[in-house]
Amino acid sequence: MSRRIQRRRTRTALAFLAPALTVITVFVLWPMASALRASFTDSRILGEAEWVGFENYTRLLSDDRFTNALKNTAWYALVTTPVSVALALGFALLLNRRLPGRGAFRAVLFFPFVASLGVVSIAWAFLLDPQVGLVNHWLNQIGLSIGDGVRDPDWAMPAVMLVGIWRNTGFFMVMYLAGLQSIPRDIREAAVIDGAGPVGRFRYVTWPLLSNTTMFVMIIASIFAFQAFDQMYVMTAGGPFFRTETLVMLIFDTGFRDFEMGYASAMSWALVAIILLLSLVQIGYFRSRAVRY
Amino acid sequence: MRRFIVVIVLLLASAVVMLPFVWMLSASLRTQGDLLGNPATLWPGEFTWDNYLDVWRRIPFGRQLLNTVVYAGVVTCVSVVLDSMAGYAFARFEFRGRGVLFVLVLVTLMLPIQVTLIPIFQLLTDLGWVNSLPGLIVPRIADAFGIFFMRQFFLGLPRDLEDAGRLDGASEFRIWLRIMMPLALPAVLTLGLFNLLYNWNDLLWPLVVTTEEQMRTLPAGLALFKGQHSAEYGLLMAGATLALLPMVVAFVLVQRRFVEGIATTGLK
Amino acid sequence: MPRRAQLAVVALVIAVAGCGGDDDGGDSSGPTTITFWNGFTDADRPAVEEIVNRFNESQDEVVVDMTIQPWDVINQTLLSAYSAGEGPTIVAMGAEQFAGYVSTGAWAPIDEVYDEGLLDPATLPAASIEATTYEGERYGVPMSAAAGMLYYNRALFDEAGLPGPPESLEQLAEYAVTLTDYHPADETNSVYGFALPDHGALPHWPVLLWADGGGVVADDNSRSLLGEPASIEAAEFWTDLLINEHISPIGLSGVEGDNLFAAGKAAMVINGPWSSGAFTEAGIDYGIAPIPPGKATQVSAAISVNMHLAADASDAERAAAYQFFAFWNSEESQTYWAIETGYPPNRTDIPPSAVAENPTSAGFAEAVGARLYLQGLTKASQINDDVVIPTIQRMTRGEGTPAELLPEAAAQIDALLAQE
Repeated sequence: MSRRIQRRRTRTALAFLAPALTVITVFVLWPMASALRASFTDSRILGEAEWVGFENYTRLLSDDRFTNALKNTAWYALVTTPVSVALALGFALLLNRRLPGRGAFRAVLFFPFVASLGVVSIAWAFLLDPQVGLVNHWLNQIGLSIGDGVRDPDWAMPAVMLVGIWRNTGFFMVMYLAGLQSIPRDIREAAVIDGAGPVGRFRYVTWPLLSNTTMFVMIIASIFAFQAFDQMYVMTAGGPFFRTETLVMLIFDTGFRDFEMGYASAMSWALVAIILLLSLVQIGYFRSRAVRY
Repeated sequence: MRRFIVVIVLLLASAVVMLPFVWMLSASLRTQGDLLGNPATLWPGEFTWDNYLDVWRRIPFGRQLLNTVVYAGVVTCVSVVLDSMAGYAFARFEFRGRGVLFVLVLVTLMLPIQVTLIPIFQLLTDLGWVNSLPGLIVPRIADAFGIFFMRQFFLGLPRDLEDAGRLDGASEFRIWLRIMMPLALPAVLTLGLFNLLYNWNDLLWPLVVTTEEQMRTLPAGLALFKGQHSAEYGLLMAGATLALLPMVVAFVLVQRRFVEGIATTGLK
Repeated sequence: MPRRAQLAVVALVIAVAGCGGDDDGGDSSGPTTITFWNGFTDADRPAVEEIVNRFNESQDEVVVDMTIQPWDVINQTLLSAYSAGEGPTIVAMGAEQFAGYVSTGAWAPIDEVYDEGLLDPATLPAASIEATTYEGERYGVPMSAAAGMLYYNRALFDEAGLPGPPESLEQLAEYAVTLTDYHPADETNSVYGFALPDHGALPHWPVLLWADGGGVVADDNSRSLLGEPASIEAAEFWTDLLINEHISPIGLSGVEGDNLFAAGKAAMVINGPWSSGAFTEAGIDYGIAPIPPGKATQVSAAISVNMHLAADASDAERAAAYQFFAFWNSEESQTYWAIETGYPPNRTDIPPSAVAENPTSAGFAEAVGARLYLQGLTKASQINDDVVIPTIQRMTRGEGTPAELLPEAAAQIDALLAQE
């Protein structure tokens, strides 16, 4: 391509990017830079903040609460991401075909994403209460029990994971449905004519063509998972004894309860570093498998 | 037979998935006393419509509904356009620094809002935008999520139509608007739905930016039914149910447009 | 004069006229408007709004513009606002965060309210005055004040043949064991004697420790008392009851404890006046009694919400705020407040007969030994949320005995106290 055309296209590209990037730069990147600067200070929100260099970051290394929250969050992400993405893909494939009540099923599976998580967490807390909740009431009738429910240190994390999966699966499913829309029908038909069975069709046609969507879904799913907050806040308050405390909960407490905004900012940027690393790995993985025209 | 099994599985999944909403509906149709006195049942012992009526009285529900429609609606419409343009640029144009810029955009998704809340608020104060519609809307009209989403989608679209357009001498903008956007309709609608949902249910942002009750959105209004030690569950659930109905409608409307695979007649 | 010039003059005149007396609330040209944030959502909101309306209507100099903020985001909204200089003139907050906010310089001392006789501290709850004092200066006035009391289910008591509310903590424990009917495999039929939450509620365990001569932190905030023999003994007593006698589900939050009582599945619960409405609606026949004495003393947990003045308030705003403080705590307002919400009135000079209409209010006025928990400590939230609560949670789940866990916790608290 000639340099003139290249330059014109670059200018056009920047023109397309300009509105969105302006907004993001002013209202997102600039505050983020502020937060980055704060992470090198002992900011307590009000009053003077003094520069402390990397002190906040080194403090993280020996902070047990941080390590614990990181462990919890990583564990949470490790379980909920693959499970919800796999379920989402499964449901998307099922509900992309002709099926009675397809539209209704799609709506139902998406429903958990429609209401605010804060409100549905209240519903789940009521339902899962061992003494007054419906779930245990029904289970008791058939001889089972949820024991102490979310109050049991061993079951608190699985319970909040379940709520997270419940909430996001429909959301990822709809993304997959959108992705499936972009697979031209004639390609699929060609595969059928070629004699490929459903599994073969999926493996050699659908899955590769979905790689763009899958990359998106996996990265978004892991970003969401690493920022989990709402259902823990309502259902377990991070307990029992920090078993379900996630990084964002710790950041929230450190910043807005203890007023240690400098340290909270350092924690946040450490979180960003982790998520970024994870995302770059995923991008790299998918780049080598991408289907581009 | 296999289809039958699939349907059964879906029905079971649906029952589990909908359980909290059935509870919400039930709680909204009962008195607080009935709910707390007989919690282990879905059937209202004391049925009442009062919660749905009182919700309008106890908070300026109508006004806040309007605010939410305006806020979420405007943000959705504008952000879909801006995000699509940017996503298209990332997908289809090659320019120096594209990779770095894209990663930078992604990074904005990763920092928890807890630590950017105060700087953003200070910025809005300096602009004089606190308690104003621009302050509520403008920071939201472009977001990394949408840009990422549209980029992925555009990556998967065939280039033939675009190239044909360029050969015909159409401007890039025209190609984007007339050729690519219609092809991307499912993704555009989906993104619109997501942005609508996210902003419709967003509690923290509108709460921090607006302090006057008349300017507030529904989630903020509903949060008033929660106390520090208790909650008025009937009212809260009734309000939440009313608030999610428009979202259900939006979802159904969007899903209607999802047919099996795009028509590829345009490729000829 | 040419038309354009005419318009310009008119515009100029309007501009000049509009310039006077707008921003800081100049007294000559209009009322002073002050902003007031508080978290009285839920059932108490109408009463708060009514009192504010009455204040606004009763005079022309001050207008209070109130915004109710949901409790869980109040720190975020407040700190964002303060940091940008847009904070409310008056904010009402629970005493738990008092020391933290004062030490950041967000609030101004208000001794003048008392010194100039707008309010007489002798007529206000002692716990509230203590809760708003920091290094000798007072930084707030009471908005609501109560102490935890024992709700007991009269129907369940009658069924078990118990004569009345327990008269000592030991008796409370006995009653709790009697009333407990534990069916782990069939929870719908379980009944618990005493719902004892370990988080998200007003302080329970501190009260139990205080009553038996122990405590969490010494009165002078110098060191932790958790490792003291009295504390360990009390903790062992109650932990044993929880683990072996199942008098309460373990790991309850305050809300869950209330729900249990409202469902008739807990015979006793300690709480403030705000729950009474829900219990009545749920059809529970309950009584209210003071928390009975332990081996050493009789105490209850003081709950104190107070109003604070922003440090950057102008003189006009300050005077306006003082007026509102006085109005809120006037006899009339407090009588109305007590009758409407069930809180005891803030004024000790209001006779019980005046609030007899609301038995909850009358009941809560009888609270004994109201004590503040972790008062005056900037690290109060950390001590409670990060040390005390997890320790209790571990203890009650058998992850260590009180004798093992409490001294460790005491050491952690001492370390935090040293940073004060």
